Amino acid sequence: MAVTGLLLAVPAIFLCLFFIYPLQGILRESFFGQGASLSDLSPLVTDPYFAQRAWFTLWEAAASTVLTLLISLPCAYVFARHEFPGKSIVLAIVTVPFVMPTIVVAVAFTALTGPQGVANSALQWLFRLNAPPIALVNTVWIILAAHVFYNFGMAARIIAAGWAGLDERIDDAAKMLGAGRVERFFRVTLPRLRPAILAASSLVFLFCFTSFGVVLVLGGPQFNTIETEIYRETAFLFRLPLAAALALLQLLFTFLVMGVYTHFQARAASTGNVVQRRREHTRGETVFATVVMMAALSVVLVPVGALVERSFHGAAGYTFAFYQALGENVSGRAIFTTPRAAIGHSLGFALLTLACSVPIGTLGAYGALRFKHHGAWVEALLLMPLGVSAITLALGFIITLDRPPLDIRGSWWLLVIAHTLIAYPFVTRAVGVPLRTMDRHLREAARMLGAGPLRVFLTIDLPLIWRSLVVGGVFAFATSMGEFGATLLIARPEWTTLPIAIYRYFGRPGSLNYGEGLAMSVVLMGVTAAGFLVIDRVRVRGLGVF
Amino acid sequence: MTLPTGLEVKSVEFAAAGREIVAGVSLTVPPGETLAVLGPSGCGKTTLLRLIAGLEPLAAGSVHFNGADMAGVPAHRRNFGMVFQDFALFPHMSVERNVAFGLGRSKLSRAAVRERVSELLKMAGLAGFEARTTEALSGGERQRVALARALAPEPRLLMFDEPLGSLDRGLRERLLVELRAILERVAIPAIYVTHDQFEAFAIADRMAIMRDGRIVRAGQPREVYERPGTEFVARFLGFSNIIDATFDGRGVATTAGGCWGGLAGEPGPARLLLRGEGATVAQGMGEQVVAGIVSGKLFQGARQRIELETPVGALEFEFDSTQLLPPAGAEIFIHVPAVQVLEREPLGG
Repeated sequence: MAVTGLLLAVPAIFLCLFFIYPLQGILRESFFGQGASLSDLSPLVTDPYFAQRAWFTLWEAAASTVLTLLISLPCAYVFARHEFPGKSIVLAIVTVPFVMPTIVVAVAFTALTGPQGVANSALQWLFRLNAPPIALVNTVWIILAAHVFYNFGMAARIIAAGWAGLDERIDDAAKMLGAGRVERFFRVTLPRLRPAILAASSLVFLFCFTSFGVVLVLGGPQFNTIETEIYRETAFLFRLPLAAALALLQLLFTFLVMGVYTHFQARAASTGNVVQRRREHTRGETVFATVVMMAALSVVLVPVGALVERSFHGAAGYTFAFYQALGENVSGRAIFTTPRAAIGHSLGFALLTLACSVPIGTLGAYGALRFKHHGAWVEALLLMPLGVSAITLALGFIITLDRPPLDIRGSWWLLVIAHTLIAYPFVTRAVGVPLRTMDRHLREAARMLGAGPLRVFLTIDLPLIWRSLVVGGVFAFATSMGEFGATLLIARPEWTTLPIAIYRYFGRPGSLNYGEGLAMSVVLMGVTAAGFLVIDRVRVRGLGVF
Repeated sequence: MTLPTGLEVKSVEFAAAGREIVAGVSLTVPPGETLAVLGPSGCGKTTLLRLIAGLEPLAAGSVHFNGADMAGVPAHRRNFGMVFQDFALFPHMSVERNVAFGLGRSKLSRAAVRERVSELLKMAGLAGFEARTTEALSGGERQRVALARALAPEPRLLMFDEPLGSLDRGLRERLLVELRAILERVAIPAIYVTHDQFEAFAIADRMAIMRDGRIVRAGQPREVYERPGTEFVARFLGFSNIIDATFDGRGVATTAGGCWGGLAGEPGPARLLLRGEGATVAQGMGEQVVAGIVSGKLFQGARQRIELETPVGALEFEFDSTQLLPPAGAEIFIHVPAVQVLEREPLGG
């Protein structure tokens, strides 16, 4: 008993040391930072620059959300109401962007629309132009496009799950009362979909509001969001109190949005028995569904295809040169780490993150189960790191973990801890689902038959939760592999991971650097996509998101 | 001008996933009549209703209303009302908005809509329920809202798909009486689908019994009850004492004793329905008497049920509780005055 109690305390201790403590550091820093007075924060109010940044962040996130919804609604309809061969493959493909590292998304969009991108090359060749006709990089449009690419599949799945949960008899009832197709959609379907749509919207908004890699790489210097501004203030301007104050404001806002999400997420879950009919579709409906699916697939496959194509495209035609260069250690380059070393670092950090986040996340899920009546609250507390942006977490580390009592700034454990903090909530959430629905009597029956706690876990719990463990574990691994923001802020040059290396190579002149950046992006995409495929195989089938 | 002939369904068929669900059903429901369609689950009765409603496409056959072919008329233009199983109330609307939904295109003013809704709710016994959410309603209240909603647009035909299926027995009986009164008042053709023979008896002017997508028996409830015809219909109506018998020259005889004269038929084997009406405990063997060993007794208050084992199988009878019955294991003789020879099941039966 004492042993299990101690085990369950592990997630709590971890959360206090590496989440609560750094957050209170941010709070402290913003008000009482080094030699600080409130005047350090005065630019926040007096300089219109910050108001502009906040405004830009808000409308960029809102516009991304609206655009994402416009694309995901028709997709959700098709996923929920049409059956066709290859549907599970289409579902998997449109969800892949959501697990793709942001840096890869950013690189893929430059590979498509950048000056040397596929689209520009093709247009230049077609119309014999001297200059690239598309100039999207460093505009807000490419940021919005990347956000849509990143989020629409996930949003479509959330809405589709809600849509599939709508009782079709309600629709029949409206039909019998004289409502036509359009009237039924607006008066009967849409109002019932509202919780699912709002849940999806708040999630998309949250991601776009704290989006870092996409904005940093694609937006260039003139498009700073609050998230990139915190990074800039911390890494380049060294105005920690200001960064902390910004982080605090952002945090308050994201928690608010998270609350909205949780509220609607709970209401989006369908209740009662639901009748679905397999019905014949009219020709028009089939054509519509086909067009929507083609469009959805091309939204995903075109940027990904462009990335892969460019990674093989050298100055003199197609080549493996960029991939070969990944394995070589070309000397005399200004960049500290070689690609091979970066891949090694990334794998190492990801494996350590996996090893830490699976036990911590699982113990957390069990801990939440212990609190019968307040379990939901405990779980919400454990999932809180999900609602905090990576840059904010890293900022908290920078502020608090570089001095006694916890001085680990020089240790690479710092990065493992940061990744674990970002990754373990996925494990907790995945494992929590089967644990909550599991019949308590099963365990009690096993105990009455003489099984000790370990045997109960191995013979009763494990068979029920192993799928969730694999899903959570792979998610944790992929998250660490792709983590960009926090790593960029706290990693030392000698720990450079794959995403950071891609970012550095990308920012350097020279077509070999660019090409190697592309090749590394493809490798990273391959690793996360493989992980996603494992998740997709293992998890319980259906719509919805993990 | 065409005469209001009501609903005419001719040889409708429907198949899904290669399986015939409705296999050629024809029926008519004249104005003011209520037809109950009765059948076990999976017999195609709900699909038949949905075909008439236009919610499923006909594979063959036709649906006419007052002489007009409904082919090509979508469900929402037919002005047929339907009360769904589990009611299908709009969960995101108040009671008032649920009932008012079908009045959307009736060009009534807001005030007139309100008035009509409150009038309907009053009729359904739900006066003052306008602002409630549907979640706050009990099962019986939901049923009443569903009925008021279906009646609101003044449909030309009313359809009920197991409307009382999810309610408890007592409530069901009360609602049946109310429903019957309302149907008589609105005087439009109605179809009532159910798997419960008591509901069908109580509500119907005529009833049709379905099996495997076909109507196997139709007629007035009393007529069907008195002459079920086939073993399937008899069993479905709750008769269980059906035994093997043989026609000899004079009548029909069973190996459990008992022979009944005055029944016509060709010599040979037959299936015999022993009806409970007028059955009494006899003192010994005789004409119209079956003999067996008491295998179980069930006291049910005013009535009691007895099971007996006979050479032709187990039989069940019900008596008043005042009737003294022999103990389990003892021999018993029962005089059964009412028997019927059942028809051979048609093809595939």
